[in-house]
Amino acid sequence: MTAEYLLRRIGVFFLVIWGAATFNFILPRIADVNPIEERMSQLASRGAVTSGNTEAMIKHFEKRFGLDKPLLEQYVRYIWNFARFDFGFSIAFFPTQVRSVISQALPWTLVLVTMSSLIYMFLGMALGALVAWPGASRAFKLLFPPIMALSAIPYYLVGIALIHFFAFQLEWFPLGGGYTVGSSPGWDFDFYLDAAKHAILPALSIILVSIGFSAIGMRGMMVTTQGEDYMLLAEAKGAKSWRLFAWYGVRNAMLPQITSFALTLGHVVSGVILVEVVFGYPGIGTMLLQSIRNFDYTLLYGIVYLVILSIALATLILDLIYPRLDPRITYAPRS
Amino acid sequence: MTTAQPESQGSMLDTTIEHQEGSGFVRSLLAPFRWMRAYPTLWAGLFLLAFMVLFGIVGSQFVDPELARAGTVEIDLSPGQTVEYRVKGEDRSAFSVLGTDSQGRDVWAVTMLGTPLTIYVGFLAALIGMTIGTVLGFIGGFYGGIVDNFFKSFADMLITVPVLMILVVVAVTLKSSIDVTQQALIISAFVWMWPLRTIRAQVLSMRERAYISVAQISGANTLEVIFLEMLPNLLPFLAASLATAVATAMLTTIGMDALGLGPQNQPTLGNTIYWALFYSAPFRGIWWWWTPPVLALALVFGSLYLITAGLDPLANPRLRRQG
Amino acid sequence: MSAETHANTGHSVALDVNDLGVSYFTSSGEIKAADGVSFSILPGKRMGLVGESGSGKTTTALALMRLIKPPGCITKGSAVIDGIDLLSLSEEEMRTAKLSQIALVPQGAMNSLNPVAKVKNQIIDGLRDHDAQHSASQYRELVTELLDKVGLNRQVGDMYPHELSGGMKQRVTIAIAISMGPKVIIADEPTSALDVVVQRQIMETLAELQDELGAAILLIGHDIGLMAQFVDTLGVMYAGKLVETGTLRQLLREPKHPYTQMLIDSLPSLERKDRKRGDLRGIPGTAPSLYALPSGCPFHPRCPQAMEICPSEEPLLKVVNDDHAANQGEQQAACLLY
Ligand SMILES: Nc1ncnc2c1ncn2[C@@H]1O[C@H](COP(=O)(O)OP(=O)(O)OP(=O)(O)O)[C@@H](O)[C@H]1O
Ligand code: SF4
Ligand SMILES: [Mg+2]
Repeated sequence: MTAEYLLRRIGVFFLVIWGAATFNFILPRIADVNPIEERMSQLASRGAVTSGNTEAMIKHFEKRFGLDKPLLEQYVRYIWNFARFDFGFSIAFFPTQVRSVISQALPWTLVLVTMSSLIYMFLGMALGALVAWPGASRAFKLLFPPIMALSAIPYYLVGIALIHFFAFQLEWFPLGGGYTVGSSPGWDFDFYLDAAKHAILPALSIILVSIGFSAIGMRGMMVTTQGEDYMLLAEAKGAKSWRLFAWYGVRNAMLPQITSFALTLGHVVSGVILVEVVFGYPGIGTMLLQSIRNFDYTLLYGIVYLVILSIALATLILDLIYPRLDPRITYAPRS
Repeated sequence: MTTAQPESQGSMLDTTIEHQEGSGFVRSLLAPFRWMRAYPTLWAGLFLLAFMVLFGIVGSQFVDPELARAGTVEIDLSPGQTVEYRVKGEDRSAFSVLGTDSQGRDVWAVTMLGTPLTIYVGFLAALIGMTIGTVLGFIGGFYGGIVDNFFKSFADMLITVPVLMILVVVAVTLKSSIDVTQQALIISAFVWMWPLRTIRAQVLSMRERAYISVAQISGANTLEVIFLEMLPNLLPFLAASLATAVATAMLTTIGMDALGLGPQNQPTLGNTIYWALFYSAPFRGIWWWWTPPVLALALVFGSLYLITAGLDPLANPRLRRQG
Repeated sequence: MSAETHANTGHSVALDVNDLGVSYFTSSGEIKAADGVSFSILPGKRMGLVGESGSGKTTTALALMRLIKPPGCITKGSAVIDGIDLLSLSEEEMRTAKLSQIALVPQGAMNSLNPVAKVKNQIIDGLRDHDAQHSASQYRELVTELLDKVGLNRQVGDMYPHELSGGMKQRVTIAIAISMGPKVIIADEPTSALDVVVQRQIMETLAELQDELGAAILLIGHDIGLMAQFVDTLGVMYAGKLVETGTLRQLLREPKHPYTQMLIDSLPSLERKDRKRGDLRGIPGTAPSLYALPSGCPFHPRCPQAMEICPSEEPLLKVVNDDHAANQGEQQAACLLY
């Protein structure tokens, strides 16, 4: 693989986010929906129109979208705004910027996704590797079937059950949310501890389900590495068994897991969004649900665009660091 | 020798049973059962799925659909009580096995009617998506070229995108209420990618193998090659792809439902979950509301998982040796 | 520790293999992939082991390294180095004996190196796990020295396997094999995937290093022609059994076992420099299935000299040469003709 691949890969990234932005632009227009009017009628039907706000809003949006301008100009302006992460005002929280609404929610989701992914990847690969390793304890083999059974169920359904048993009945964990209501989100230890307590069950529902995914792939690869010639030579060298396991087995078997993680990331994030909805976790997912319920189109489009962008970016980064893990792949031309 | 490929694959499947005794007739009668012994996971999955479908279809004949309508019965009743309700001035009563929800619906009725609905959406979306993916996969694998390149790249891109997000935008923007069939149609637009990849790769690898070209040289036309030579060999892959596609489609449909974007006024399992969440059932300890749909879904997903896992040794005979 | 002495000649031997048996227990029955294999190699000597594909050469090599994996297992025999029977060592003792007593240059060097580790680390790996307490710079020096010995540039240490040619990879595996100065080196078809020129170079390197170490070598291969130029003694395997052993000269000049005779006859004149490569696979008839070995002498269905008793009586290895010259060594064959 060469620099050409690198360029193509980055090209794909931009293509994806351009596609996402364009999709957001085109869809309301072909569906012939005017977000503002929709929203107004929605508010009117609830008898909740506050005239001052409404006029300012309508004025602002007409100007912003330049609905009187030619389509091409609207489009260019739209893409340019999205490229700068300028999604305008939230309809529901006018006059708050969509960007600032999202930036409150984003860290919660980012931390939840990253931590759970790291943990499940680690545990799953460890379990898969140990199940396939002849020297390992039988206990891992016993652990495998229940983990695999869990992997068939969507995260958030497991989440509901976790809430019932561990938050409602046993009261070990708080009933949803991201932090204790009333405590102001500050950056001190108590707040972190509180947030961690709230995060455990959501994270657990993601982890418990996902371990199976990475474990089964890892098990297969680990079986393969044991048949490889390099494993035989390593054994002939008299290498200690932990070295055989870690440096010859796991080190090689983990490479495809990283690729398949990149491929399933979109799936994982969709799941996490629903987990947040179940737990009322103050991240992107709950924000998304609110925007759906409020018909807050600007917020919704902003969220969807950012989620797609984040995943595309994460996939790109994984692709770019992959050669660091597998020396056989290099994006630079050979010297 | 080269044309023997399809047979050799067939015989590979039979190796486990070739030591069995018995006349040809008895053998053929017993064949499915021997298969069952050879592929217990696959059969367990198929039985479980069939059970869930029958459970819903047969079961729903015995429930009063009125019970699945909001406001029919008293709310938040725990399981095992008799409920009295009025439909158009007529007094009725029913035994509420699973209790009632906070909107005055009977949970048993909702689950019975919802299970087949959700499976229906999953299968319809998956079948359409599979058809698109398979056709594109065959075209791509056979002819290559720009069209193949385009769809392959498009599929690769779409696979990394969180499909649920796109569907949310579509559903919210269109806003008009949809029914289960329309929902399945929308979802089907996003489940063709994996089948395309799988089938395309298989077609390519089969083209490499000699027997396809032998068939082509011997004057068979492309369609004959596809239907007589390739499809039979691809069956395990197609079946495994279908099971995966159904699971993906169901995951997507209940995801949309759970965000409140599902078909309105239809008691799909996802909608039940949406309302259970809307009324904070898990936090209020109304377990009988969310447990039945969650359990039904877990069983359906479990059955699909078993089917996929059970088909794996058929689709990838290489793995059989590790058994 | 007293050195093991050879039963007949009184020389000390480097490796003494006795009645080695390895079976694979598959669903369709037991495969005796090596059965009653006995031979010995003197220090500094090179023994060749030839035989058709599937005759049990690799199995024998792996058994000596104790690397037979389920469904296979070593069923009987001993393999003695320095008075110690490798086959009765504990796992941990055997692990330390690898590389320091006995080392393997594996078949299929193309994939024998870990694709994700640098060459130098793969050389050091083995040393580290033998409690060789070296500093980082000592290791670096050692790697350079070893690479130099096998004719590789020191920069190779910092390269990854995919950056090396097949011959270079095989040199690395040789460097690993000699890294702790073992008494016995087993080389399983060390050159089978390489082109002819490289084959010779590699063999020469291997022979040189072995001379330097004074180690004994067991060289496994198909190509008697190539092997003839390097080995002192030769063993011929057929269907899991050693059917003839002796010095190279004895086997080439006066092969006793009909199978060996056919092998030698099938070779283009060995003495000539421009000969073609002699390959074992040119013998008429097919190798027997190990699931259903012919009774008696397993070679009888293909043997031109088969006698009436051959299908019923199993021949054992016995001394067949009447040459009592002291430096000739004995020649043994498992054939009822003798
Ligand atoms: N893991 C295994 N399971 C079952 N049988 C095996 C296994 N490994 C080897 N065998 C059998 O043992 C016999 C000897 O194999 P071995 O690899 O020792 O032959 P070889 O002489 O090295 O052949 P080659 O020249 O092809 O390397 C073969 O018949 C093979 O089928
Ligand atoms: S024992 Fe008989 S069959 Fe076997 S090699 Fe000798 S002569 Fe031939
Ligand atoms: Mg071999």
